Amino acid sequence: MATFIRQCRPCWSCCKKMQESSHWCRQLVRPRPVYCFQQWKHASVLHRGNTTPCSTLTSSLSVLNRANTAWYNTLPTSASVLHGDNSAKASTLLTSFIVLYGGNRSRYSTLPSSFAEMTLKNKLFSDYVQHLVQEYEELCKQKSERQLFKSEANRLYQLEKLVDCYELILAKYGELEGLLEMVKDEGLKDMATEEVDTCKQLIQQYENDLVGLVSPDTRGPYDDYDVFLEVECGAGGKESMLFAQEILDMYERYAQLRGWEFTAQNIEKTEGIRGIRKACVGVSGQGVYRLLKYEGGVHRVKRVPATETAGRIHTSTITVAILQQPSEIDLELKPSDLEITACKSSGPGGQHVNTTDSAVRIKHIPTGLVVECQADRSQIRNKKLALAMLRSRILQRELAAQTSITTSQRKIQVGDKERSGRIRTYTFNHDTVTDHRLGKQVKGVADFLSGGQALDEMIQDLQTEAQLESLQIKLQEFQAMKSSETSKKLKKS
Amino acid sequence: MILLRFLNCHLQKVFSPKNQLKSSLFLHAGLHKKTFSGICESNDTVKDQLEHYIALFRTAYIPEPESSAELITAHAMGKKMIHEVDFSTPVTKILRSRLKEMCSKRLERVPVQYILGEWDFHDLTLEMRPPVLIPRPETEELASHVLSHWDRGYHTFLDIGCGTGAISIYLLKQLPLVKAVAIDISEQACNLTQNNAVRHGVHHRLKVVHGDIMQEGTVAELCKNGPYNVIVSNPPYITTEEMKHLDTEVFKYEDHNALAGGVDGLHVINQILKIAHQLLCPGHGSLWLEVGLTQTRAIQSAIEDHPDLGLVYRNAFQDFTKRDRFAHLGVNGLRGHV
Repeated sequence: MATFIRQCRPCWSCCKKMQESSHWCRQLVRPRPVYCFQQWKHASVLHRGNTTPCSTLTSSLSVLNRANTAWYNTLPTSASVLHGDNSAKASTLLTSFIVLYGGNRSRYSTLPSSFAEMTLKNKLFSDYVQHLVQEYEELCKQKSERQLFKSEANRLYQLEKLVDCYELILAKYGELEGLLEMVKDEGLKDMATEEVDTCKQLIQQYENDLVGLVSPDTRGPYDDYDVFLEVECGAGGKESMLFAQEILDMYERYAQLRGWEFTAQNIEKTEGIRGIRKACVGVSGQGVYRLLKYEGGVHRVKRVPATETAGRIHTSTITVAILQQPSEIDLELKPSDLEITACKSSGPGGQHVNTTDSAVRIKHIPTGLVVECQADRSQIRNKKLALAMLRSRILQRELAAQTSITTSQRKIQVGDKERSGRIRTYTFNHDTVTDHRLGKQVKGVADFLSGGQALDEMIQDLQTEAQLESLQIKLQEFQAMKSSETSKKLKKS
Repeated sequence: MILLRFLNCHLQKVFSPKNQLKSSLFLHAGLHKKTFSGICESNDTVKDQLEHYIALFRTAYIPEPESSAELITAHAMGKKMIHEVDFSTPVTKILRSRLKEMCSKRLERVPVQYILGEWDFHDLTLEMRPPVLIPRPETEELASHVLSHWDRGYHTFLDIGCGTGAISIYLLKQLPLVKAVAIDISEQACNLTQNNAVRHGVHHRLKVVHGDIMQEGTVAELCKNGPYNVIVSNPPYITTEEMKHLDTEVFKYEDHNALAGGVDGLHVINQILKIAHQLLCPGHGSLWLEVGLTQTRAIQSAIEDHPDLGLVYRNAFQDFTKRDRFAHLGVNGLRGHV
């Protein structure tokens, strides 16, 4: 038996084997729960690629088996939970144990406000996870009865990973419970405390994994699109134009850091000073839209401007817009809808005239949108760029029309010109940058404006925050669904 | 004489301090002769210089004064477009003299492309050298049309009147398995095509022939290298009457061999139509021409009137001004290869 177990070690990164072994486990659980449990332990250890604790655990387990009868009581329960036989039991087990281990549970019964609070200790979250586990079981049952639809199969695949992770956590909690019992025993105290620490760490890790798996996919359909980044000066006159240039430089350096292509499409410079009224640049590369989408909005600067003589602090604003670039296939433009004006539009054209003005202006007749491009010496290239810009504008327009209620509720929004409010303030006299959506403040404006690590960290934080927010929205929806269900039941009764 | 006066005045202005630039040109030239001592200590920026030359070009009635001055300035600063230039850069002596030299050429109505010595065709930067015809935006469209109609099975094409080699090089760059022959009557054009081909690394696949397609010997040589899947050409198509009204830039500096198409502008086009069926692959070859605005109809009727040409008129394509500019012809399947 033991050799068989060793051969059949389930690997957590590989679902298929997992299924085999869990099927096999089902048969084994009743007669020899210890082996089964041992196997889970092996699995969890192997999964992390760490073989050292394996032997200690096994040895401690054998000691445990002899020393502590409590194990035998808990093991069948956890084992049955493990292969998802009995979710009600799982729930009770968790409730009783997590309260013991995790302390005050009621504190967490509300909507978690950060990822740190997104654990099974939170009732709403654990309910939601169990809801998903139920969905998984339902789908498994369906699978045995009929062929699944493609969407269902995809869902099952997604949930499979989640359920695996969840079961792993339950197993760990079971283990922890045993270990805590062991701590009470004087003779085993030292070894057990050590084990408790590793166990807690592992639980922490798996919980993080679980949150990642439960979180809805924040990858939008446009995440891999290239973008047009538009910077436009706002309130504050020349100071605003100067700042617009600084922000543009910041993104240019960030693009360099990321290895993205950064090409100027159209830049309206300010006369006399190093500032810009409006700039449109194309940014292309991997994951451009995903990373930049939360950068759109109003950026505010507080400082003594270079143009100010009396030394007063001014507040100026600039707007940043991030527009996706749909490809020609994604958004097709009919030639009959376009009114293209180039410099050489009248006269005989062709060989008769030689022009150097390669600017192109395109009007999209159905929407009335107009774009101009003068980025290149080749007229046909300008035309291509102008068409790309036009497609981007049209897509933006369509997206704005589609915007649903859920997105308008969000704190972190994908930035375009119309919807976004003030997102960030650069305060020079305090040397801080504040992001209003994260409520986060970082020191070092100059460092931030250099487009290096500070900006990257902020962007990553925004990504995480957006993910948290989407998870919160899911949980809220779940809460609302549940409360409506209970109210219906009440009415019926 | 007038030209000389402008030139003179402009030379003085280059050395004058910036705050007086806005004053009237002639008045200014007269009043500040003292400052024109040769040593220049002004703290001009690129922007001042640019504004100065724009004003100068405008007074001299140079076409497209802004665009000319901007492109020259950008080129002098080692950039392509003016928006890449930092306007607040102070002007160095070297930069000043480069600008002066280039702008004085422009005052003689030399096309900007010849002054810069290069120009863009699609995403390629090609060398431009007088008097070889500068590729027009329409020619970029012609190349795009040929490319978008390119059949996978095609492996060769002929470019008649290659000029700078723009069409050939662009197509060869886009189609890495294709070989081509380019022919031009001008030796300078042939050399320039060769240079540009080397510059873009397609010279191994491009054979440049110097010759006149009116000569039977040349046609025979082309036949030897053929047959071709596609013939593409931007032949001279300006009528003798229209030649009289051309801009100075075009008339004075560009090769008339590349412009003048005889009394009806169809002199070279007719010859191409005559030899096309010998050169094209029987059955599926196609011929692309950039022509004058009314000439697509003339070509259509010529082909319909002369079935012995062995060609069929497929369709005309419009340029960006939505006027017929490009003729697409095919080989008549009924007539075999001669």
